[in-house]
Amino acid sequence: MDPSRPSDVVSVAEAVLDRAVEFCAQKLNHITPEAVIDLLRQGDHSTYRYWLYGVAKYVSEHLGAWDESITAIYIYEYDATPEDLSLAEAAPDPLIHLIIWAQRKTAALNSLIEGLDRALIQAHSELLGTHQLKYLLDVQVVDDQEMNNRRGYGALFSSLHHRPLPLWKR
Amino acid sequence: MVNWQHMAKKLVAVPAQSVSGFVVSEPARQDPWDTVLMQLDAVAERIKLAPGFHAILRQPERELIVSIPVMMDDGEVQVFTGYRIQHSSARGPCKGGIRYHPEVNLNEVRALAALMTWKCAVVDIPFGGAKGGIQCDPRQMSDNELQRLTRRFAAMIMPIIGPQRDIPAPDVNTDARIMGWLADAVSMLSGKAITMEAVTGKPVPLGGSLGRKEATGRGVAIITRELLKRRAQSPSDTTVAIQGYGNVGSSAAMLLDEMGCRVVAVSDVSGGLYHARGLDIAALNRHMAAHPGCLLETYPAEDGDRISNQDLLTLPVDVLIPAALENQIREDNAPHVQAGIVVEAANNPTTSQGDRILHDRQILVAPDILANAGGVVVSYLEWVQNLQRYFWDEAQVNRSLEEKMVHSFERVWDFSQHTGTSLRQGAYALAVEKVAAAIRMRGMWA
Repeated sequence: MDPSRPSDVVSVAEAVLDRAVEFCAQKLNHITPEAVIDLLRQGDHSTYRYWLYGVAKYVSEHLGAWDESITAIYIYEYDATPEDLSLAEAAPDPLIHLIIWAQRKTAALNSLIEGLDRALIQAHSELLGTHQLKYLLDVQVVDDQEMNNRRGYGALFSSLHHRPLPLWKR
Repeated sequence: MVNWQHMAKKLVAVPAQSVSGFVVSEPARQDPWDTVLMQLDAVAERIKLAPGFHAILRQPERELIVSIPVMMDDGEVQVFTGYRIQHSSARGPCKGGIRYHPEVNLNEVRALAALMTWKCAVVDIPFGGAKGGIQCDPRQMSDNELQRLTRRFAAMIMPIIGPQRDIPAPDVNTDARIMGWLADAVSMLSGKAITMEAVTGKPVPLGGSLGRKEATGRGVAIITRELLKRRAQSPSDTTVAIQGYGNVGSSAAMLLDEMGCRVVAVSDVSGGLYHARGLDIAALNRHMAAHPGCLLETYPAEDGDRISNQDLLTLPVDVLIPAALENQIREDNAPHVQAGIVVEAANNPTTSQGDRILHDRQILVAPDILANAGGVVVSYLEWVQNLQRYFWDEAQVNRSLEEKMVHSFERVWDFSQHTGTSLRQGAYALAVEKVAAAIRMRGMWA
């Protein structure tokens, strides 16, 4: 599959969302994919969190396979305090916050992410029957230098309170 | 019937701590426990802490490491490592969250436990400090697996927790639902209907407190108001910028707006909004409530200019409230901060270099240990309500939070003024002094 061809990115996006639904179904006591989609359409927080994680996981697998400069990919939460995140009634953030650790930042990687994000937004809207989001992926790329010196988003890896979760590593 | 032979084989096949299975590892980071000890050593020197007390506080009081076997959904048994560390119970039962993360380790939990000791002391609630964690990737686990893990962990730390010993709460990757399971497990194992006072951060129907959701933001707003009083500045003459519009940032914005402040800028990960005459916070919050899970970028831009998160930090405002990620105010942007007051709603939003620059520029910084302590204060109020089996309305919770935050602020302010230190140094010094005083008054049984 050639990710630079838009048609391939579209089919990858659809496959990612389908796999995320299956992942979610498995985590929620093996309910059916149709039941997952119903829960997602109803805005069930727990289902939505699992589903977003599934999307992040499969997106990471594709990005890691496509771009050899990527060392690892992480997901993190963007919020103030653990207390902030731990309130069950809080609606899940609609964005998937990823940190890509790459040897270097390249225009090709940015373009790949943008293309995939556009395709995911379209597929997301079709699957859930909702309005189109502006973004689904919030991706911060950190290079080796930033990671080693803990600068920019590389600083989160020294954090006691915001701990990125590893999704994919080379 | 369980096939133990089969299970034993599987136990060998899945070694402990094989959580991620990844090969690449991030560059080493400074040990958080070393950092906490360095902070303590500096404070001890400043307040001339007796060497014996200093030695006591340099060690956690009790550490429990457990290996937690969990039957996964596929029938395999995995063994997870869990920790519960009690840094100090000198001032009361230990208090602190439980986090689930693949990289949780002993020194991280030690550091967080000590920080809880200081935080509880600063806001003068009768708790010591603790923290717990399980090395696991909760997003990879099903609801059922998480529940089994939580219940087994509860059983294994039961000997050292309880309403008069150590009261867990949510932390990174744990939530009210997990606290409900924990409370149920503790109750069942102690033969009680429900021991609700054993855990805080529970769902409201299980004894969770009203007012918990806005507690951290409310505390931030109260501290801001008290700082303005000390500067003889009226809220109506005050402009505020808030970085981060999650639960804490949006609650603080709403309350400061109600107090009469002009909230001129807010931001989230999608960027920010700025209106020099003040944003319509009520309308903004109505929009966010009507579009759950949406970001600020969806709010119509007529009510302000779009700005970046970095622009927000250097706006010409009176009060800056970082309520998002860590390390936002650094060596590179601290010289450009124009606010006279910084209130740290997030944990560690200012680096040590950034802090030094703000201090040299005489910018008043309300440290995170005080400014975002509203959450732990309402955890304490939840425990109080649970113990007396009598639940307050939200107004009563808010009044008690207000009293605690104002009193704590006054103590830190007076201490800092008296000793000529920053509010951050003052808060830590006061906390260590309070814990040391409790140890001294209890007498040395050694």
